[in-house]
Amino acid sequence: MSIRVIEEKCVGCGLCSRECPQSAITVSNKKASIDKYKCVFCKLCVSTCRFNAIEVFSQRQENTEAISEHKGIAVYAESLSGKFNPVVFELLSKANELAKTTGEKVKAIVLGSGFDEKDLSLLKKYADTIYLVDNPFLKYYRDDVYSAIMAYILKTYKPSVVLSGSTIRGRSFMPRVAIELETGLTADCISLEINEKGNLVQTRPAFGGDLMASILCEHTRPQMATVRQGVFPVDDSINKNGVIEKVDVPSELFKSEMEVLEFHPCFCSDVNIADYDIVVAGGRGLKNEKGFALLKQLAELLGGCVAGSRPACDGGFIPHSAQIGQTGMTIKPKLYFAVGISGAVQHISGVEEAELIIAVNTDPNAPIFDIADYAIIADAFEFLPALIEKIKDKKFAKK
Amino acid sequence: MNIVVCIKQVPASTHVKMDPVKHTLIRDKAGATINPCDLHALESALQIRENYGGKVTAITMGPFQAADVLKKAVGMTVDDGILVCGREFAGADTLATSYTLSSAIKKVCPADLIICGKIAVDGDTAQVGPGISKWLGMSLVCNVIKIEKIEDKKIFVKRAVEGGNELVSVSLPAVITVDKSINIPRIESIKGRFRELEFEPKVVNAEDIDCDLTKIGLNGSPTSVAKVFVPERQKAEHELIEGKNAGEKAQKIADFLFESKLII
Amino acid sequence: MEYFLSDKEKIVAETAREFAEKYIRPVRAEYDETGEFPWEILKKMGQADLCGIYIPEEYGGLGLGVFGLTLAVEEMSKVCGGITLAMAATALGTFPLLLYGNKEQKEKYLPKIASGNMICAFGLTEANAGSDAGSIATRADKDGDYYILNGTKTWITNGGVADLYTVIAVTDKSKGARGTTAFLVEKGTEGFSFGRKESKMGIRASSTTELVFENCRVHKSQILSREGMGFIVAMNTLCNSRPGVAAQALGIAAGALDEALKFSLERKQFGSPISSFQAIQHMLADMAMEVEAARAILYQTARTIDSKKQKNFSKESAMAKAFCSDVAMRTTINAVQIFGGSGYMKDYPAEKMMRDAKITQIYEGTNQICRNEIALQLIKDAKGKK
Repeated sequence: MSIRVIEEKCVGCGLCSRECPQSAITVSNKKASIDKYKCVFCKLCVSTCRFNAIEVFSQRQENTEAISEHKGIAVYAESLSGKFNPVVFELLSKANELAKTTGEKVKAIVLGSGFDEKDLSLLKKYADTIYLVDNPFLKYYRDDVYSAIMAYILKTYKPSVVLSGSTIRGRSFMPRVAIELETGLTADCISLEINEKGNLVQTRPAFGGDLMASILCEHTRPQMATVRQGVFPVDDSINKNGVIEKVDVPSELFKSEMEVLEFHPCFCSDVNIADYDIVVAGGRGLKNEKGFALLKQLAELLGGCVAGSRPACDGGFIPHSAQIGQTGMTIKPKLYFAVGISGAVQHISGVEEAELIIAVNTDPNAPIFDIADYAIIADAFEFLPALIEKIKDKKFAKK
Repeated sequence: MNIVVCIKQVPASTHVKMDPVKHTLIRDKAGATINPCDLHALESALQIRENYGGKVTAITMGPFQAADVLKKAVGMTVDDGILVCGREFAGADTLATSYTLSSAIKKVCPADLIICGKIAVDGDTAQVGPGISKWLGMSLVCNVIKIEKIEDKKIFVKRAVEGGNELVSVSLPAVITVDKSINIPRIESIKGRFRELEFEPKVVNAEDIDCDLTKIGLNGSPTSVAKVFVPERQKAEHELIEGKNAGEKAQKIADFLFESKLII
Repeated sequence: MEYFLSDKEKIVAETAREFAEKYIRPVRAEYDETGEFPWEILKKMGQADLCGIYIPEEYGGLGLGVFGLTLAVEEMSKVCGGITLAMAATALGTFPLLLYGNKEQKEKYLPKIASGNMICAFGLTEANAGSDAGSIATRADKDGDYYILNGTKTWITNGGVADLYTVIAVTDKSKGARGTTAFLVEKGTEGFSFGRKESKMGIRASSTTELVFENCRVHKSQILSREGMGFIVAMNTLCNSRPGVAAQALGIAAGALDEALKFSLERKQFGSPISSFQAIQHMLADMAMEVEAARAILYQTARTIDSKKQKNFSKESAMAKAFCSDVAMRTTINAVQIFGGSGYMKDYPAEKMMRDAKITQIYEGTNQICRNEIALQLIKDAKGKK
């Protein structure tokens, strides 16, 4: 792909230059020119130009034969001790929806050990075929083995789309798989659809989440994506009766340079904030440890857990495992109580589906209020102690 | 022991806003900086050098200005800095970037251990580190939260995994990507800053690193951006809680929480 | 004001500033509260090359002299005069070695000190001696190639935590001050122990203890200069180290001014920030004037010392120390005043700065002793001219 300014059409108005998020366009002698080093091909300039003077063109030869031979939408069914990660069913639900458009089959790929019929039966409801590699060597997650086997399965069965949860595991071994297959992988997608050409449009946050970017992988197959947890609903109405196909993997692939020596459950993440109905979160406005101590008191009174925005987590007040937003968790609690969080877009994307949002901030124009149901303009250090006291009074009076 | 740290220059602020009236982009002109996670990667490498000896090389791909992040690394006392720079690399996605960096490492600074930050704040893909491991046929450990030891050509590390953390060992050469919790990065030392005054990075282009031109830059990138748009958000009609002071407002919220049975 | 710093000097100041903001500011209140010694921070200071600024390059330092040290101590003391003291007091303990050590002694210790792997202390003060060096009671009796040390030093900064101590002891009682000798004593030497850690008003992150010598055998190779030079070693050490105290004081004063200014812009009374009130403005103006004057006298003194163009600078050194520390005291008291009620509370940094400032008027020669030295030199100079 390349980009160029059609000089005959360009009038040097400079609109594109102002628009370009990369500052890649300069105008001299009434003609725009694009610094191809800075350009990331976001195409904002193409849509901005009123004279259709910028065009993006493809230099790549389409290998239609190779593309047409790939069929089916595959989902990596991630599991831990035989239990499937909830994201698997979200992805399978989405895969079924996409498969309706393309008329393809849905496939689940299971790697692990010690699955029984019961574990797999739920999966059968959502997939036409389940490719199963059940081997004791897969009990522990090893990047090299998992990526080699996944690549082998994808090469053998040639699906056109491969989805994985944007989990710690998915994000670490899928890139290796993509490289072995020399195809594209889009990280942390939050929307997927099939376009008129039958390609997968993978949408993910860009520029720190302030903008969305739709990514295509037109010329290679499979089209691979990791997908954020919690963005697609699980469709309970799907009721397939999938077939389990045990995959015969060459034995040399079960060889690893890694030894897993110890496992310590729940280290940095004492709690999974996604499991809580009530989440109380703090941001930059809480300033210091005292602020977060108040927040914790409130969370305890509400029976919820404490979480934080990125600045709060970067400041070390909240563990990164309890970070909400684009680079953290997406949650849907019954109540989200945001204190001292301004509500940057990347934060909001992680909580906007909360049933009820109460926000406290000193700035009446804080974007968090745009998604809040109840807005309190107050200083956290005055408001929190007061609220804690009132709740205690009331709880105490009740008893 | 040769340690290579892959670092990246990122915008100091990743914020881009859309002017609601004119529909033009408003950029935060805060300049460029080193990707925050990469500081932790550099610190990890320097600590390994302190404990086991060896040489630490920082490598980055980008335009000439990206040499600034190498200077920062020199300030933190890495031994060498390499800039992979050339128009032919432009427009690379993670596949092409990881290919380019791995080719450069192979050719210019062969490594026993490659350390990357877990994720870059501008791209947010976390794919280049794992990608490099595959191109170079090295072991990979992601999300490392502690380096325990290096012994018998193996590195022992703790990594974060779903539901906890694991102690694992992998044979060297290996790629590890480190989490921010692994350490507190040092500041640039005084001697390091003195060295920065006259530091020039080693600059290499596609020819210097013997790479396959079809695999770099735009040509080597299977993914492309179809469009960029501003996410639509519904502006909620919120109720403003009024009161003379924080106490009155708190009372209203407390009452509400009890009434709506959120506190039982 | 423009002090015409060289590129390297600017780097020293910038590094110290960044270091203090990143590693000291977040924990200064905690260390002040617990009185713990900042081991971790000191290790990082070494990593950042902040420990060897004044040590010559041939011994692993930066060779930037007393002025380089001054810049770093000032910047870090703006944030915390207590934590910074671990490094500044090491400089005090290192000056005797720098000034009077022989090549072997320097090669043995200086590189470790420069890298931050060795902490030093200076042992002069005793229960009944200090400024009165002639009354030192700690004895060092010769026994073949060894000296046997007996006695107790009090209020020694970095006591207990330092690895190397310069100790002034009497080798010939008949000669008074001229009968004293300076010894390098390593921690762990048999017969050398520490008294309890003092609980102090300020600079609480710093360790202050007694040094106790009970038949402690020290080899003659550990003598600095030669027998009988103890008093000279001590006096010249103080001439070189007092700018360090002055820098600490200046830093505390400048830090207090910054905090007070910031607070006065934020704190509102009668509907406007208190910085709009003339009473506050005049206080801020006085503080700023004094801090700038203190900086000017200190920088010029430090540069005079480093220039080596003036042999005796005891007067200048004492002036810088007394002036800067008096400014620190006045400035911090006024900072607390500007903070009002908040200034009296430990949640705000002003009261700690006031407590930290006090010691700078006391140690390394009280400001009264400093004034004696200034006057002594003035009178001497006047008589010389006649």
